[in-house]
Amino acid sequence: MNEVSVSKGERGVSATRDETCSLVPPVDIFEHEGGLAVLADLPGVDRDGVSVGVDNDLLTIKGNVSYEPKGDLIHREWDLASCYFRQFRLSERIDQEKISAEMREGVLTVRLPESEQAKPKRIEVKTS
Amino acid sequence: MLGTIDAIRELQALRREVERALEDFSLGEWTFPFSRVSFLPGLAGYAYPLMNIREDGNNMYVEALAPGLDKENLEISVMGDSLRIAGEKMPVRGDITPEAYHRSERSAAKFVRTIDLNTEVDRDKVSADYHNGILLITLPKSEKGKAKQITVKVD
Repeated sequence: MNEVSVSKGERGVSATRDETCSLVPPVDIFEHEGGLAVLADLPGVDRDGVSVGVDNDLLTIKGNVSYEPKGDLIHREWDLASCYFRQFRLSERIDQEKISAEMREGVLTVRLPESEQAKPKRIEVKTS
Repeated sequence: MLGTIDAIRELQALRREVERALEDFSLGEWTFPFSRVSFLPGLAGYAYPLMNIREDGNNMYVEALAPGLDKENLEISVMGDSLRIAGEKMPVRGDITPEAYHRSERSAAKFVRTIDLNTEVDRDKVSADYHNGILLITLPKSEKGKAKQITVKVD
């Protein structure tokens, strides 16, 4: 329901910035369940307005604001007349095939699992 | 005398350097609303969430920019013509230790904010809707609050 599809490669997201998107979402990045999790605040963006792309070790988060206000503005503290854009360079330890994302209450969660090879392997030492 | 002026100039140059260096670390140069969507502790917390106010003939609309709220903990109350919003920006799960963090920009905490609407509203008919991280509060204007049109006859 809240899942966001992650597009790989074919989008060709090579530009490191998008001049039309001026909003930079704040993020939390932390280690979780054998990988990394990225949380991004994207208020005003619904599930269909967010795109998560992976290309060339580059993770791109983009969000189009779909909020439609009612009435005439009489006091303004924020403006979402644009879109969100932010990119991160992925470590080679991340398994790019297994990246998943979901959107909930304006917060995007991207899960970046580590590849099996990157995980530490326990070697049993036998004593005779 | 000349030496003193040079020294002052040097000091001023140094001060500019330091200020520029500090700016790089402050939130100042991050693009809006980067720094402002985040819940910032201290004084900035009093301005959370950011609110826009709109109105039409019948209603006042307060739009609060607040992603990741816990709806259950949200308290909205109206007293006179002031609106009070209290709630909590949910922290990331509690079992994540500080060492596990690579970046922490969103932060989370409880907040309370009161704003004056400057218009009388019908308290019993206030409604709120939370969608995509934006809290929209609709406050119907009371009869007193609605602008009355007065026709002035000119002789």
